[in-house]
Amino acid sequence: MTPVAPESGRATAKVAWIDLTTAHIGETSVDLATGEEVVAGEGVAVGRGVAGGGTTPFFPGGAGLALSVFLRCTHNGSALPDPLGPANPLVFAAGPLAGTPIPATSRMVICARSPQTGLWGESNLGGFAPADLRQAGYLGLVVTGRAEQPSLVEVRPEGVSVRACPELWGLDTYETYDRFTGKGSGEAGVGAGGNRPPSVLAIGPAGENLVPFAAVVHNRRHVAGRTGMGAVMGSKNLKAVVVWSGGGRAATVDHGALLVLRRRLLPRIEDHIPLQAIRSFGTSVNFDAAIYLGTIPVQNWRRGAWDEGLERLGAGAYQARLGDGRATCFGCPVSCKREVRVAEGPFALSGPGPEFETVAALGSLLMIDDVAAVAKANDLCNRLGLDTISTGGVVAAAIEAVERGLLGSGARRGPVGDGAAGCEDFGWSRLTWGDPGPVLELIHRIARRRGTAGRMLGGGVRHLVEQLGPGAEDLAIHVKGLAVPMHDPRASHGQALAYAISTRGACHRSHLNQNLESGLSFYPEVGLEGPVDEKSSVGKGAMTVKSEDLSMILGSSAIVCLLGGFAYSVTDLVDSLTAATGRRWTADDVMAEGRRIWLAKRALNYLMGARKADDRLPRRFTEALKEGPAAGYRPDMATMLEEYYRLRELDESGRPSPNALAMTGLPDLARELAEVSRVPAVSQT
Amino acid sequence: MAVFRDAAQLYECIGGFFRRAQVDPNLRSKVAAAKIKVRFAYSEPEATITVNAKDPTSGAGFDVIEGPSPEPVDVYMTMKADVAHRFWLGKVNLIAAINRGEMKVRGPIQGIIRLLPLLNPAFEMYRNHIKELGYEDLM
Repeated sequence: MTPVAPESGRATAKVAWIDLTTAHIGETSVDLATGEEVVAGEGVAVGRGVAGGGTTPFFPGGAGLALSVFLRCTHNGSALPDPLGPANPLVFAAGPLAGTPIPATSRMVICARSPQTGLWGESNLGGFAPADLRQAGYLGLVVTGRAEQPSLVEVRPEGVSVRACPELWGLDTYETYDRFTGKGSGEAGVGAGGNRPPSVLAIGPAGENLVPFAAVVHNRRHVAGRTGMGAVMGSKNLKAVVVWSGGGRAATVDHGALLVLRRRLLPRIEDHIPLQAIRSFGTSVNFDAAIYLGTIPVQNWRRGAWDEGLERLGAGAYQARLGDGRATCFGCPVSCKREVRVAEGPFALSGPGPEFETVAALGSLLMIDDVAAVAKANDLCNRLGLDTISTGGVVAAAIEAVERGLLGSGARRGPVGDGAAGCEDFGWSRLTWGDPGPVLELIHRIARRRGTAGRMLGGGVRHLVEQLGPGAEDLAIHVKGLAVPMHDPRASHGQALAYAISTRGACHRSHLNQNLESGLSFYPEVGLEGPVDEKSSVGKGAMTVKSEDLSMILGSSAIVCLLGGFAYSVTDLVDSLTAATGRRWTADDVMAEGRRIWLAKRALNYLMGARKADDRLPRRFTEALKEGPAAGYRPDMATMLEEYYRLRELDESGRPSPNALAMTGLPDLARELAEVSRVPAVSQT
Repeated sequence: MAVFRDAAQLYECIGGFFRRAQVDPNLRSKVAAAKIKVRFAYSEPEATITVNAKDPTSGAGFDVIEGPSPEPVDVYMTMKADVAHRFWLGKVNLIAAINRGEMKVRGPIQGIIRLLPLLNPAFEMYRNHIKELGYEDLM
């Protein structure tokens, strides 16, 4: 059966509820205009309405849908779930625009309580799976329980099924993908409708070994890296989700209007200068832009300049040394993905190339200036299923710890000093800035948590610093356990604030400050206009409130790719949502619903233990760099946080005001927060 | 009031700065490596400077041509002279200026992108150049 928009002017999409413990699968159907269930599925075991209790459902798609589901599953009298326990609901939620003609919208989020932070976990990826999911008739999948054997979920227009796949356990993500597509078939079938190979969302050894920053890797090249959703899959014995679209059309209310909107958007994307650059060079062009802006991290964020090394990692060097073709996501003309090839030598490979974040995390952050070595490290992380940002972050901390005598045979103290058992199984003294060999070896150990090195680094940077003990505090370059993305906040003060208060730890996606401060996009319809002085802290609290509220819909729920979306206005978003869902959206509606989603995430994090003391930047970022474009600048965190807290109506402990929650249709959360007397806070080293 | 009183002063400041870059070993080799011909058309005051790193005739790695030129170029950039001046002082975000239409670009962006990492050292050179000309009041 091909799902199409119904004549009634209402569009619905299914949500599959999969309990891996019992192998029971139920289905509900969600109205894209309201988020309400229109068909309550037989046998759905949890919940009291989509969001539970008196809570109105959130935006129907992406993080909004995931929040509705999470509240339904976890606020039915049970305790908040252990991140790696069977009760933690793992939600795959596409945006309602995925699979429609609107370009740069084949996006989805994967959400659960995060094993990396202990808080709301959310990871965002593009590719083909979001479009395929929508075209198969589904908006989301909810996975609970734990399968007895390694299993996979298969999604087809006819329905969802679960089957055991012990033969896949232990394979890397590329090998897993190849099992469903035939080696080398890749995404060659793009645009071929029913002949398109299935989309595969797989974990590798890192997810199987419950590395808290394990990623979910889709069709080799699209990665949901942040907050450890791969480990949540591993905890459920879920090796992969495989989606066949069936070649249908995503259900929307007005497909014709969406086609008109596509024609409006394509020339704007075509003419957009930064997007032309990204089309020419891939996201690695952001590296050159970041050199200019002064946001590139060097040597674990200690340096603000490294001219000779950065040049060897820039877009020109990347293209000359590695370039072997382009790739894209469903329906997107930008084609920001790169194929790379290194013909011979220790870094020989052929396949998807590193994105900007990875070139920095596994390159400049570690002072590795051979872009081929970076590509190899990226290839390993993708195969093994590791978040490259977190991997780079923990390896950088380890190198610095070795350099300072905090780690290795010469360590003054701690669990790995003084010849402690097992500490020599890696040979820490080999770990130095700029040497890729030991880094590649460490990546293998981290993914398998092998030996002392694998166990220490495999817990992430917060875990490593806790193990190292006193004297290592300034190596903790994370917020709430999430390693910092590759944009130095000393050169971008709105980014600094956003890192500190983001709903998932240090995050560059849950707000639009990066776009605003780098000048890539502005949103005058909601008061986000340029120019913005990126190295000033004045007014950044107010800017961040608005940019988060907008991003909760634009980047997390609708979901528009934040790269392809450079060319989008809020009006484009509103018009697209109206045509797709049947609800007449306005810019005010977007901001109000974004605020509501933000409040719900903040409230959940409070219930999970996050407090005001956790809303802070790593110490290193409070000290000015001595060189480079950001030299001498430091974000004024006290002023920005004060403004932000006041505008968000957060109390002295960081709790959202019960009144704000109740006014935005979240009475259940308001009640729960009011009852919290003392919940142990997440501690940040 | 515009920063530059006339085209002659613009050529002295911005043109002179480009000529200074011709003799800086680091900037010269990198601009030359971009192999691109870019024309900057300024308004208020009207002026044109062409930087030719594609087929230069001088031995400096790239040519700097002041005034109108009939030769075709790869990239054509238009902006107010004030914007150009503030840009070279490091006070204008290039990406934002392009997005906001303060700088307009025609032609393939690739060559320009390759010059991005050079900008920060160039800013310092421009500031020094303006100071040495005795135009501190323009800073």
